[in-house]
Amino acid sequence: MTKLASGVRLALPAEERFLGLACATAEQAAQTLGLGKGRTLRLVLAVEEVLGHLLRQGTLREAVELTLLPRASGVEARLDFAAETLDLAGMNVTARQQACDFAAEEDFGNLGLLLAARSVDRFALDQPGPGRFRLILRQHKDYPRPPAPEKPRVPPRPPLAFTAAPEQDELSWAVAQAANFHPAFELAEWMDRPGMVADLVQGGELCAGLAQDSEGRACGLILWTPPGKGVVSFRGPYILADEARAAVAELLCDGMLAQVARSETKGVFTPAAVADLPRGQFESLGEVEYELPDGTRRRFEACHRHMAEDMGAAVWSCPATEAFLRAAYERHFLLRDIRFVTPQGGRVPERSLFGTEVRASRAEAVLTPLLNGTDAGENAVRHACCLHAEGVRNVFVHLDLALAWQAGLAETLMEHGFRPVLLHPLAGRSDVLVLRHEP
Amino acid sequence: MSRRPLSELAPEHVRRFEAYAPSPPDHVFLARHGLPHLLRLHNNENHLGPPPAAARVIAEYESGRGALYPSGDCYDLRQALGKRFAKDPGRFLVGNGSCEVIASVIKAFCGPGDNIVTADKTFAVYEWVAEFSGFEARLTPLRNGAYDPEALLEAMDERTKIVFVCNPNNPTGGRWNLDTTEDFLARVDGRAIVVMDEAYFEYVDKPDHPDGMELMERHPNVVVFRTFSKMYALAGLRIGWLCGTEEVVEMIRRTHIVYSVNGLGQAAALAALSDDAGHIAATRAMVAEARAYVHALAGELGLAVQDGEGNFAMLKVPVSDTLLARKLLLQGVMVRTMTGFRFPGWIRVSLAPMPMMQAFGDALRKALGKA
Ligand SMILES: Cc1ncc(COP(=O)(O)O)c(C=O)c1O
Repeated sequence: MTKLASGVRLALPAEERFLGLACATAEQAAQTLGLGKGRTLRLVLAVEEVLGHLLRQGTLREAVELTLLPRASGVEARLDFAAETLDLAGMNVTARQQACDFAAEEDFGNLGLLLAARSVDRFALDQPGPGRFRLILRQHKDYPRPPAPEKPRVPPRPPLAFTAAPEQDELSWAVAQAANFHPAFELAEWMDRPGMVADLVQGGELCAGLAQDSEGRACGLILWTPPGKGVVSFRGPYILADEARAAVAELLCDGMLAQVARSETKGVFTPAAVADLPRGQFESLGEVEYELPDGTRRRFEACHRHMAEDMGAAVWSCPATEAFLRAAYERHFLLRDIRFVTPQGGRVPERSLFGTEVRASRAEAVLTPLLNGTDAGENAVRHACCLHAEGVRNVFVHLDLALAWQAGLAETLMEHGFRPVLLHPLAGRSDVLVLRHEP
Repeated sequence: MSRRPLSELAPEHVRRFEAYAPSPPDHVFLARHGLPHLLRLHNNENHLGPPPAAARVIAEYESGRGALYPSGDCYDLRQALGKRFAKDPGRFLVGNGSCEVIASVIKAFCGPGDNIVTADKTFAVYEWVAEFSGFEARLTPLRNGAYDPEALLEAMDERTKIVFVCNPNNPTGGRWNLDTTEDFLARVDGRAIVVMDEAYFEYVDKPDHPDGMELMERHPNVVVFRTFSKMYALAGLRIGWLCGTEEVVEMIRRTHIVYSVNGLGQAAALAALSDDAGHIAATRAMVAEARAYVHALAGELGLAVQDGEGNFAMLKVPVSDTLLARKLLLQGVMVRTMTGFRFPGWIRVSLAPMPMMQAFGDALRKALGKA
C-alpha cells in the first residue's frame, strides 16, 4: 500500500469575507495535488456553495478548517467545524417549502448543501463528535473511459491461481475486459475507468483479486472494500472467459474470503449480485429496484455471507417493523431477541440530523441518523425530495438496530413514505435495517 | 422542586450512544430460545472431562485458597514437568493457556522489521499476535493438509525470527512425521526459532510422530508448546506451557508475564500429570469411535471429510458454513465455521462421545434437509 502524502490545511474565522480566500486556496491546492482544471472548478464550486452557506447561516462556532487531501483517485476537500445544529435539507429545501413539490423546483435561487452534492463524485456528512461536523467533498481525476479491448481468443490454461496483489496494468486490463463478458448492469458504475480502479487499489482504498491461468493471464476479477469493522462490500466475481466460469468464480470468492478472514470484518456483502456468484456460498437478502441516472429501472439483488459464527444478539425494533424483521430473521436463521422501543419519557430534541452520502453515478443517497429529533420523518422526506429534485432518485435510510432511538425512527419514517426493503446483518454495530423512500 | 433525571448528568455523547447488547450466556440463551441443550462441538474440547485425579483436585479445592496468590512461576508444576520430561524445571514457562506463551515468544524475539513465518490455514493466534504487534506474518499454503516445509523455507529471510509449525495442524489434522521434521530443522539450520505447537500431541498414536521435547536436544532452536486445554480437558482453567533450551527460555522469560496462571489451574494440572495413562487411552478410544462415526455420516450425506490427527474433523458442506452453523445452533449444536481459517464452505466439529456425535449427526441431516 502506498502511503499518501498529507494535504493542505487552512483554518479560517467563521466570517463570510474569508470565503474567497478559502476558494482560492482550494483551487490552488487541488491543482497542485494533480486535479485537472475542469475537475478543480467543480470541486471549488462545491466548496464555495457549502462553505458560503455555512458562513451565511451564522450558526458556526469557532473557526472552520478546510483541508485538501490527495486521494488515490483524486482530491478530497474536508470542512471541519463546530455548530449548534446543522440541518442539511433545511438549508435549502425548507426555504423552498416543506412539501414535496417537484413542480416548484425551478427555484434554484437558494442553492444549498445538498445541491453541492451533485457537482462532486462523493459527498458525505459525518459527525465525529458532539456538535462537531465534517463534510467531505471528493472529486475524481479525469480518467479515460476506453472502449472495451479486444476479447482474448485463447481460453485460460489450467491450473488457475488467485492473486490479491495484481500488477497495475494487468488489473486495468482485467477491469476493461469485464465489459466483454458481463452485461453492463453487472458492472460497478466506476468500472468504465480502469485507470481509476487501479489507482484506488494502489492507494489501498479498494482491494482486487485476479484469477490467473498457468501463464499468468487474468481470467477473472473480484473487487472489494478494505476490511474493517462491520462488513466488506464487494463487486463481482467477473469471469473473463467463456469456459470454466463456475470454477473461476469459486476461486475468486474463496480468494477474497481468505483475504478478509482474520480481520475484524463480520461479513461480506454485494449490493448487485452477478449471475456468476456462487450461490451456495451466499445468502440472498432481497432485491432493490433502482432508478438509474438514464431513467431506466433495474432490480439489483443484494447478497451476503457471515465471516464467522453468529451466536445471536438483541436488536431494537418498533411495532411497525416487527413483521419485516421477524420474517428476515427467520429466513436467515438468525437468533435475535427483538426488544421494543418504548417512549422513555426522556426529552427528544426538536430537530433531527441525518448524515448524508451521495453517489451521483448510481443516483443514490444514503441517510444515516446522527441525532434524534421529533421532526425526523419530515426531515428525511425533505432530504429525499431535495435529492430527488437533483436527480438522486434512490434515497435510503440506514438504521442501526443496536440503537433503540434509531430503530424507533422507523415508525415515523414509514409514516412519511419510507418502506423497509432490506435487512443487512451485522452491517453496523448490529444489523442494519434499510428503508427506501417511495414517494 | 423536581430534580432533573440523573441520566442528564451524563454528557450528550454518552446519552446518545447506547451500549450494544452482546449475546447472553449459555443458560440464558437456552432458556430464551427453548433449546434442549447446547452441545459445544466448536472448540476441540475434550468432553470426557479432566483425568480423575484432576477432577478430584477441582472438586475439593479449598475455598480459602482463593484468597491467596498462586505461585508466580508455577513452581510445583514446573518441577513435575521437569521430572516427566527429564529436563531442568527452569526450561519450562507456564502461561495462561498456550495462547499466552505465543505472545511471550514473539515479544522476546521480534523487533521492528522482523517477520514470522507460518501457514495460511492453521491456528489463527500466531498470525494475529504477530500482526497486532506490528510484525509481518508470512503465510504459506498447506500441502496435503499439512505445513509445506519447502514453502516455509522459501518464505524465510534474514529477518525471519520465528517459524510456527502446528503439528498436528488445527484444523486439517495433517502432520509431519519424524523424517520430515528432522529434514526441515536441518535446513533451517538454527537461523530462526522453530516453534513446534504440539497442542494435540497426546492424541497422536503413531510411531513415526516427532516429539519436539526430544528434537530440541539436537536442535537447540526448537521451542515446544503444549497445553492442558486439549487432552487434559482443563481449557476452562487456562494453562499451557513452553519448553526450550536454557538459552532460549532465558530470553523468553524476560517478556513472559508472571502470576498469570491461577492457583486452581496449577493444582489441577499437577494432578492431571500424575494420573494420565488411563485418561489418554480412554480419550483416544472415544476419538476413534467418533471419527468413524463422522466418516460414516459424511459418506451417507455425500460430504468430503478432511481430518488426520487430533480430536476434530472438517466437513465440506454444500452451503455457506456460516449459514449452516446457524442452522445447527438453532438445534442447540455449536460447530466451528471454517471461513475464518480460510476454508470457506467447511465446518470443523470436535470428536466427542457418541451421544453428542449422534445429536450432531441428526442436526446436520436436518440442516441439510436430509432428515
Ligand atoms: C494449535 C493450537 N495451539 C494452541 C491452542 C490454544 O490453547 P490454550 O487453551 O492452551 O491457549 C489451541 C486451541 O485451540 C490450538 O488449537
